[in-house]
Amino acid sequence: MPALLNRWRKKADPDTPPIAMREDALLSPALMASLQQMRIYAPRVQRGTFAGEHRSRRRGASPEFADFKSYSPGDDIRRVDWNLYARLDTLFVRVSEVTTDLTVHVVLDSSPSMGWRSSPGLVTKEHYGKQLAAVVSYITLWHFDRIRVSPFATANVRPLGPLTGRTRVNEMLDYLSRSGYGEATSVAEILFRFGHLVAQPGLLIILSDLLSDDPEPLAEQVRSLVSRGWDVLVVQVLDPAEQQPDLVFAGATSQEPVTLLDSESGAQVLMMPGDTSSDAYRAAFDPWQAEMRKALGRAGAHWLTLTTEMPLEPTALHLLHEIGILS
Amino acid sequence: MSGLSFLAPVGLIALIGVPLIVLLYMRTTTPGTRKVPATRFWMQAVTPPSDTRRFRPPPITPLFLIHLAVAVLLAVALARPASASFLSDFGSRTQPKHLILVVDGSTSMSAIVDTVRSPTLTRFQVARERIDAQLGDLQNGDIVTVLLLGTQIQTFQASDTVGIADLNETLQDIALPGGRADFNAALRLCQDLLLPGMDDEIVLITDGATAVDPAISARIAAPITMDLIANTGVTDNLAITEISARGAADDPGRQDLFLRVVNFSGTTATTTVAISADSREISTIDISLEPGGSRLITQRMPAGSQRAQGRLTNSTDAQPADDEASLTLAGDGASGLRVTYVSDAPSDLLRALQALPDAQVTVLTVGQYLATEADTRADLVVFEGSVPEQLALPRTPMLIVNPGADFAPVLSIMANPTPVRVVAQSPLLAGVDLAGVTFGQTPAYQMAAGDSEIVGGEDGPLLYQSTSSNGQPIVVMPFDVNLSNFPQRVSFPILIANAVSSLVARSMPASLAVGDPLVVTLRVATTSATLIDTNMRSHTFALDDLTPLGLTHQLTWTDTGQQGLYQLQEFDAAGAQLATSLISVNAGQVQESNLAPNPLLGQSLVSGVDSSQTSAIQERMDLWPIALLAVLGLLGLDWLISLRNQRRLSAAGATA
Repeated sequence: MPALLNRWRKKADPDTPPIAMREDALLSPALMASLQQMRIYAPRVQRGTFAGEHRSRRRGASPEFADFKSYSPGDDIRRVDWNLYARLDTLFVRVSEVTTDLTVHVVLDSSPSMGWRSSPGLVTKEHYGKQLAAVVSYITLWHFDRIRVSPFATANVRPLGPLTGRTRVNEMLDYLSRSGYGEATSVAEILFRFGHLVAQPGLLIILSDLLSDDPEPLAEQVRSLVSRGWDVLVVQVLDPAEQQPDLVFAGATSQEPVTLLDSESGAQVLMMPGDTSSDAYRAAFDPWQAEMRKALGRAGAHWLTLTTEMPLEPTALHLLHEIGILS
Repeated sequence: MSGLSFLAPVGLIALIGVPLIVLLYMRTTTPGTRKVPATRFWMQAVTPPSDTRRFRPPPITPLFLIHLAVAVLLAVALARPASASFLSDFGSRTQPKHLILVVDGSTSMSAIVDTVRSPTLTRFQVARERIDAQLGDLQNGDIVTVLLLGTQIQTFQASDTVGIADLNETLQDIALPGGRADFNAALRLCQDLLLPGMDDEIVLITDGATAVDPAISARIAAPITMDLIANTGVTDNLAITEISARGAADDPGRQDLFLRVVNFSGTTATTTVAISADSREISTIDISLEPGGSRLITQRMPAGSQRAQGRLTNSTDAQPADDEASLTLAGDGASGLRVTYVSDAPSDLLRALQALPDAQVTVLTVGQYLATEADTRADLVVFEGSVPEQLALPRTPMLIVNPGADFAPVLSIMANPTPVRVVAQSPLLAGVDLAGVTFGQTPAYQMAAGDSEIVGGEDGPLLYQSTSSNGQPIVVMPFDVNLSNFPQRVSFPILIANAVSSLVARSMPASLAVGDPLVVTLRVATTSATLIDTNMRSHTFALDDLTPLGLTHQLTWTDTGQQGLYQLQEFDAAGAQLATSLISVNAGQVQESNLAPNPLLGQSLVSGVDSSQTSAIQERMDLWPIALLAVLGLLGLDWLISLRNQRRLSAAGATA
């Protein structure tokens, strides 16, 4: 009995979430500890005049329960949680969240192309995207901002959120871990629907390889969102082989033709591996990527290209910090 | 590769796999499929149809080379390569081998190989080393048969590696059999020992001091090779090859010894011959012999001597065993003829009996004879003047002279008979001249049924053969020796000797050469015998083990390969020892004492099979296991390369 009470007592530390965080493949406990020191920054997002103009750590009398904190003289006695007192023999006060008007929307590409990887030593683009989504979501929840995760290309999976508060972290991680692949679709179409579904602008983070899109149609949708007050960050998630096409033909000889199978459309192309084919690929891919970056930049979006060989910490987080999303 | 051949060349048909593999590699394979996120950026790299030819030059890849090598090696393995030299140490013999080792175990193999450098190493010890080398070359599946020659052929056989090892161990400890090696009999036995379906080979391990009938060798259906134990030193040898004794013509009580010494060398040899009587040296004679020469030495032995010995005192040749010889002299009562003479009035007959070689005559009166009952220890009982009643007749052959009127029904009395009926071819009359012989008054006995008249007078027999009531053979002389002039004739002792020989067929050699069989006619009363050899081992023989010979038995002993004294003890039915005889076996013998190898022996060993061809096949080693091992190694390498490629493909997202 004393051991059980001790466990409860440890959990009652206000600086520690009441429910122990389980280890997850998306985020390690060490990374979570690092993320707690970071904050999402969305410069364009207009802030409301809710009580508590700063985010995350403010507590108020909102009916929305946010957390527990130890009782201090002067706290509202009505907010004491007597059930907890009965269990732990210690006074705790319920703290309600102070809602802000910053909602972070994460749009995650779950099309089949995101499930590809060039080497067993790398994670898939989809997993890498989930990790990025988990990073953003964790920081958002930790600081009591609102998070909404929308995997597109999966019509039968409902979006997650909006979620607020540290207690929703496990739910967010669980959701991201279990989401699967869907059909191919374009980001531009998703943004078109998204813009009509969500009225309140916030920070929109698009996690996709963008392979199904062309620069101008996507830039048009982004421009529309930015004009309405959205802060848009486009993170292109790629596999190293998509920038170095030689890696696609590892093990093949230049004298044997290879059939390339499109993971989304199922289209096949027959080709001879070698420098010629690689050069032809680069001649098509590099201009497209450059044009995509320019167009989205002109549309007002932040751009970031990450490859799955980059570790989340410190590389990816540093880059997010570089572009001003994380502080 | 020198000496490489294919035992099954038809297997090379499998080389057709080589062009097939090249063709398969030339054919453009179905392109492998690799999944990519999107093909939109690969459209510019699409291969034109003209580039996807149906056939193309084969890619020189490690897998291609490995498959070619595997095809070649498999074809080679199927063709059963065999080589006499290259890699022969790593291959296995193409066919199991049956090795027949014929090992010379004769007395000459006890000679020293090199009297100067290795004064104790004998030829037989070298033979053991050769045996060890021959058996060490055998492999699993081979069979070995060893024929060890000596006084008799000993056969050993082993058919597996463990048995061969045990056999080798046995042969390394086996003693030299000695005697004379009958290679002709051994080769005939080899022909019967040949095994079908195996490579038979006959190897003779010998010092070459022997002879072989070429006709016998020619009938052998296997190659014969000779592993000659060459004498690294000299083969000079002086030997006493003959020793014998005879009663002195001028002195019946003494014996003359005869020794023959032979010089088996290429140079003149001098030596001293020492002669001993009963271990007492009585004479030394210096002799000089030219190469190949011999000398017969005669020595009068002292009266009463029982054993004579000759020895070359200063010989240092390669074979010391034949430098001495010994002999049992006649007069040794233990080995001589034992005669009991029963007569109240001995006549000239006694003297004739005493003149018999090896005869020991015991004289008894009738009363003494009757008092001691029938003498079961005598070889022959002679009654003169009277014959005891039937119940007192001895159970031995008898010579009955002048038995009297009670012996048999008397038809008449011949006043002075003369021989009118003579069975001239009878052995009793060999060398006997009856002309002018008078017999005096002689009763004409009525012979019984079964009796055989040898010499007959006018009315009755003068000499006849009969059988006693107890079944013993009898020679009867009805006449009175004292009334006859026969004893004054030379023929009388001859007749007596003939009569004794016909009644007592006893032979006991005084000496033998090594390897000669010991054949002894035992005493009539002997029911068991024990032979003690030179190693003091006793060999007992009951009547069932002996060969019946008339009224007695004959003992034959062939294991006389060891030089020395053999002792024969004879026992009667009651277990009482009747006699002990000593027989000398001497090493000296013309064939075995000549230590030089027979220069014609090699020519005599040409068999009916061309040894060069057969030995070439036998020496070839099957190399297909090596080829198969190489194939397995290449297939392992193939697997590793394929596995690596498969991992690369799966990592690149390729589908099957």
